[in-house]
Amino acid sequence: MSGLQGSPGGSGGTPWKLEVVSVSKRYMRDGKPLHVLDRISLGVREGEFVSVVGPSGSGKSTLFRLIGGVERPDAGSIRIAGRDVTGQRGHISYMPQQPALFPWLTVRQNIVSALTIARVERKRAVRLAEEWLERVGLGDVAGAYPHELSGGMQQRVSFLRALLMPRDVMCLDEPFAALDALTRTRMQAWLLMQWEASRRSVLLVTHSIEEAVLLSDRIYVLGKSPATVRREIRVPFPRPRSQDIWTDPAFTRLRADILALLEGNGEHDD
Amino acid sequence: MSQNVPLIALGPLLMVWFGFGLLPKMILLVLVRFFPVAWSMLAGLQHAEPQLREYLAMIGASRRQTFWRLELPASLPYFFSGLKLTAAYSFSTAVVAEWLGSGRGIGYFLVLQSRGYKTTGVFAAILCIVACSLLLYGLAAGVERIGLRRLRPGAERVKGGGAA
Repeated sequence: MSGLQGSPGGSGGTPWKLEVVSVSKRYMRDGKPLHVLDRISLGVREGEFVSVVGPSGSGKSTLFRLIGGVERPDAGSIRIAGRDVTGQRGHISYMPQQPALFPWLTVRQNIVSALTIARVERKRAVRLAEEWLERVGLGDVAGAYPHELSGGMQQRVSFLRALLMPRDVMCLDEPFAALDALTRTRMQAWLLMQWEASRRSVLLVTHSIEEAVLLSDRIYVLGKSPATVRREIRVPFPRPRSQDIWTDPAFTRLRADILALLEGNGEHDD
Repeated sequence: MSQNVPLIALGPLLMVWFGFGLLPKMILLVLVRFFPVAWSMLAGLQHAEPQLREYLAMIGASRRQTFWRLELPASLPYFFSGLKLTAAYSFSTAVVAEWLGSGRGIGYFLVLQSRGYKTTGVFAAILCIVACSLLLYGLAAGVERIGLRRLRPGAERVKGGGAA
């Protein structure tokens, strides 16, 4: 078990917003037990961008379902802002892989609807939505319906919806996986800009190493079934960042390291 | 599914229980229309977009919130399409109910004319029935169009009617 030790307020100064403490999860599939997560421990500090990188099928989505309280872990606990919220819903905001916008609501109504679920008063929700749509350059499409927008635009709305929910942690579940390469690169730059302006606590799940390195302060590399934390990596690049770091030799080295870990020839567990 | 069950067979029974007036016919019509619409709406509730359901679960929406914000709007097209499908069917049910036992109405008239071999009368009745069925169907289709445009603007229409 690498990474995170101890409890909030401990060693590092800024408090933990999210702590996943030694969480395990098993499913029964076709009568056989399937061990998905094995004593996963990780955490996100206040104002920190943390990524979880793992091969496909490494239980990343399961991890999110546990954090979101949609499922309960077999062992371990989830703590948000210092409180044990294992199996409780309504403590995170969420951006899924598919934009998950309601087709019968306009862009503005989509955001307002989500905010009211998070108990933001309706008038304030409308004001927030208007103000932020304008601020991120989506003011023109506030009254449009999701199907009138491109995939990239839909994901921007989805991100904004997650950003505006007054929750302690934002969970982004492979938000750009369904986009084409060019749109994806643009979206990463956009997200980087938006996040550096807002500094929310973010947990991003992705299988793109470049994406994780570009965006994160720290990266947890997961191993395959059952998923364990192979290593925790601190990303050395200063902020504000740009996609220029892709040509930095340090970037290339870091990417090669993570790739080696993912491919399994790196069993250095501390 | 329930449209394959010939509810019309209940007609004679309802006549025995409730007489030859309007009541047994109304009951029959309610039965014929209610179940298909209800079934197709139920199917709609279950077919609500799974990734939206997952999203609402992840952000902690309650059951009530999930119903009002997702399930009900998602099942509306099924409701309207059920309404449309049963519109014509309900008219033919009414006609048959009338010829099973009634002293007036278009079904009664049809039977009367055919027993007297009055082809002109029979054709007139058939024409009337066809026109009324089409009118009812058109009315239901109009209600669907307007209803969906009002209640789920922007969303494309779901085709087919679930349980039909």
